[in-house]
Amino acid sequence: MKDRGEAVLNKRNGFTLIEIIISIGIVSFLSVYLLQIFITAKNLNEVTYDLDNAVIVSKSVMESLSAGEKIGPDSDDIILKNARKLSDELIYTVKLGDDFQPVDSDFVDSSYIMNITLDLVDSSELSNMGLYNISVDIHREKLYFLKSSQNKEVYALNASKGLLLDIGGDTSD
Amino acid sequence: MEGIVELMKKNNKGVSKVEVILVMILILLMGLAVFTLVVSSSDTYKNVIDEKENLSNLRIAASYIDNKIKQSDEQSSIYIKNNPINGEASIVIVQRVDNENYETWIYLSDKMLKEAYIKQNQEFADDMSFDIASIEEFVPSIKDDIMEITISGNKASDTFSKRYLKINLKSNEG
Amino acid sequence: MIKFKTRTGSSSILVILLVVTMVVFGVLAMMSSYSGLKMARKTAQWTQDYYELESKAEIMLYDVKNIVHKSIVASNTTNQDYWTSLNRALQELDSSEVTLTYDADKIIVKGDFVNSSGDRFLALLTLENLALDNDIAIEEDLIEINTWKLIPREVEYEDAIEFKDLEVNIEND
Repeated sequence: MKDRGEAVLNKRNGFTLIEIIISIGIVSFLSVYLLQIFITAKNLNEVTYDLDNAVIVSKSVMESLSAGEKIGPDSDDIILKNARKLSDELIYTVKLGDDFQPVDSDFVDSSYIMNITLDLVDSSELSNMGLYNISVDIHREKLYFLKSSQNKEVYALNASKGLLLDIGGDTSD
Repeated sequence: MEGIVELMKKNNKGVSKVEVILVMILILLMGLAVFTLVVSSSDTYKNVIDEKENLSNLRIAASYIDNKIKQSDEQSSIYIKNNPINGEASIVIVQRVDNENYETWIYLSDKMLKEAYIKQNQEFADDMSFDIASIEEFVPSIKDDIMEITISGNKASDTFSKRYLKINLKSNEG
Repeated sequence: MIKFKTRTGSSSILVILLVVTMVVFGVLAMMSSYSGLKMARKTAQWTQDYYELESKAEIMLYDVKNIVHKSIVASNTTNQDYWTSLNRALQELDSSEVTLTYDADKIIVKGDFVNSSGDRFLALLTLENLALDNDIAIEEDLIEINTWKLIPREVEYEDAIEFKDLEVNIEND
């Protein structure tokens, strides 16, 4: 039996069974790692999409606030309209969907969370205005493809602006 | 029955026909597997590149518009006007250089965001302008002090997406 | 000429070709995505830097608004009182970045802010000695924002291109 196996390997022309089996084994072993490269490339695109959109959305919130838009249901800006305060502190939260637009319903899981933090630095009752340090940060809730990390901060933007002291509107606590 | 036994008989080199057939089938399968792998990896590559191209175009357009406007926010210097090439809304930025008024037009033509720098009231054609990025939709508007611009990429692609830009034109106040 | 001593092992060539092809595609895809991500990060960083710079102008604007309001209150609503107290109060804003130009009936506040990379932000406000009217919100009328723009740093090109002067001979007939 052994002699015949050796004879097949050494003296035969053409492909042999063992050769094929070994090649298939090597290909299947290596293809796992090769496919990981493609998955990484796809995930990099996903991260890039997140960052690009997060920058644009954070900027638009800053610009809206700079123009004097209010935060809350009576605002004209789509994103600020959906901002909700979760506690007594001046931190507003907006749930964003896959396209970085606000999701209305509480039943739908949001893909991203935006937090708008207002930190009052100076205030003047005369003009009903206060100088706020505004911080807009965006976190990602949904998972990346085949990765387990979650709730990662995508982008944070800080600016100081003079805003109306009643920027939050008449929302009762 | 006899045919199967015939196939299993070994010839003078010690290899039976069934072995040869099995190995040929395996070779075929392996060839198919290799071919599938190569084709799928090239398809994946194409998808990744297309998606990156889309993202890149939108980012360039958004970043360019944002930069341009933030560098020229002066009173009565930025407005929206229909361009003479295809009548669609475009952004016009007026600057005064050497006692002459110059206009920068940012508009969309032939699925391409373009910029033209001309003297005020001069008629301009497409070939006088520079290409910025390849996008499909560009809709600027000004409401109160806020300029809102909607840009979107290739509608036919899987990775179609829109961007909504907002810029506060502070110097229009007062 | 490479002579094949044995025909066995031919399938390893197939394996090698396959692996090389997949690695090339994978690496190209990853490099492309990564370059996209680098550009996105650059844009994100630029945005943060811009808002850091613009915040200085916003603080100046907030201070000016406060001073205007204080002057209105202190003026007992006569124009001259308002103008005098405004002139006096604005002097406290004078600094290396904020310069004031006083005219008979207008004051120009110029804010020229620079960040560490050499980008400049220019904010020009004009305060006019308009008639005060109690009932209307006058702050917007009294402060005019003429300029609110970013002046990017000048880009220095590393390789200087030198042109030699050409001598042109114009032959006259």
